[in-house]
Amino acid sequence: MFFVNDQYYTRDDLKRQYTVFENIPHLKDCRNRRLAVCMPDAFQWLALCLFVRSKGGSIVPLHPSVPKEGAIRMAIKAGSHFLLYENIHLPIHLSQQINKKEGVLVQMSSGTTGDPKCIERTWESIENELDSYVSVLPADNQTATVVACPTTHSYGLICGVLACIRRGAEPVILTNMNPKYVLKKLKEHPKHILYGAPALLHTLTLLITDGQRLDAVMTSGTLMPAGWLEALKKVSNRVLQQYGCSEAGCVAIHPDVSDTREMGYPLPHVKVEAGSFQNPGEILIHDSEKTIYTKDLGYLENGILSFLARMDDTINVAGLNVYPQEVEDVLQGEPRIIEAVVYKKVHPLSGERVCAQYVCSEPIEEQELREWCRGYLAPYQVPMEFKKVEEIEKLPNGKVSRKRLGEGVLA
Amino acid sequence: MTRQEILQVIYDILRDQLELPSIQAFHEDARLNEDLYMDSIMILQLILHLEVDMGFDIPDEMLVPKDFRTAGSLADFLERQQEPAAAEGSG
Repeated sequence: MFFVNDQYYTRDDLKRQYTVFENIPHLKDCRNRRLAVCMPDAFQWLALCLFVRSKGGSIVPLHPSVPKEGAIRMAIKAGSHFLLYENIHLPIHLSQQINKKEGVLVQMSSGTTGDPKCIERTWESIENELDSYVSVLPADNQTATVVACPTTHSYGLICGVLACIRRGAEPVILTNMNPKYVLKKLKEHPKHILYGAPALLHTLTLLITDGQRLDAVMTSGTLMPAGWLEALKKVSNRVLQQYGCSEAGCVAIHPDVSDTREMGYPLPHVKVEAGSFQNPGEILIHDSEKTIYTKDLGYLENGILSFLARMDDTINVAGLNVYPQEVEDVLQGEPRIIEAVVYKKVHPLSGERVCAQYVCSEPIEEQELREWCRGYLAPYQVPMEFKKVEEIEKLPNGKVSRKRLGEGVLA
Repeated sequence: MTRQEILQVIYDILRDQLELPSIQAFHEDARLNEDLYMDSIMILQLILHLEVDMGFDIPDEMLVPKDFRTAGSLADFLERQQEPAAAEGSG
């Protein structure tokens, strides 16, 4: 059925776990109830998720590293009736109120613009996504999905675990993030598709010394710097990328990425709209029920969806669009630069201007940086302000908020 | 490498490579997560530097969270990792 690290669980193990759940009153009657779950044991978490889904209940997955007080706060925000914190037998009762809709998966969106939002998706809409996802994913039932990312997030849960079970293969769920261990597990499952975030994939790339090859590798969540992708492609048979959002799940897959911005072909269950190459626009996702405004800027060309930037991040320099990722790629190509982030600041007189923060391995003269950028970028794309920092500020979810960095006025 | 040297190596990586803002809180009993505010991505980077730059051989086994709890427990773990090599060297 599936592995969690080295432990193999059979269908019978899952049935036995269901029997345990059936004997716990608050779980037996979970139909129309909303359960928040924060569980260190990945098997118990997944079994519970499948159980609640089969009963028509709702589930609110919380990452196992969330401390108890935080878990209670998030569970209340999501309208949960109770929270299971590390223990299925001791529910923390939170509410008696009836929610408008049950039979949903509740997820916290990343909330780059403020507090996280709760997003509800019905199990049926997830089923539709799975059918559609599996129909286009180039993987057969002999290919194991190796999930090296959280299974409490839709990327790991829906596209990793559930989609793998759906296509009749056995997921290998890794909660131990030792990169060497991940490489060892990939060797044990030579026909695999690995789900990870760019930082982990990059680490794996650098640790491969014995000529090991990765089979298929999926990346998602944030754009991978061009240099990382190039290095990853050298050690992988195939690099895939997917794009989506919490409201709609996965909406596009690229079966073989060569340009980090190319998110791939829209899945059959949605219609995706975006601008053109000459005139990029907001990416809109139409599913059977609604239209989702992603606030992502992109374009469709030859059937491939490309992502340029979060709309709020695009910098408008006197009518010319500057996409931060493009400038960051150039900066990161400078050998002494470890990390760079590009964002906008608004100047009261001259409008939006490109600014950059960077972390470097040894000091760089600002003049040298400007010269470097001029070699690759148009003058309006070259940052006006360079700021050397010890560390680039990240949000709790590990993402950079370009908006936050750009707050304040250009001096 | 002595335990003291290993601690110094960890300190240097955190200060120079990861440029950890909370580096002044570094001491043997500092917890990587709670006291030094390192997240999982930073731990990944730390492992990477220990392996690639410093030549430590992190085993391909499950990492025991206890080993990565404090700077001191990590030093103990790395000290154990180099034991077989040291035995070989002296023999």
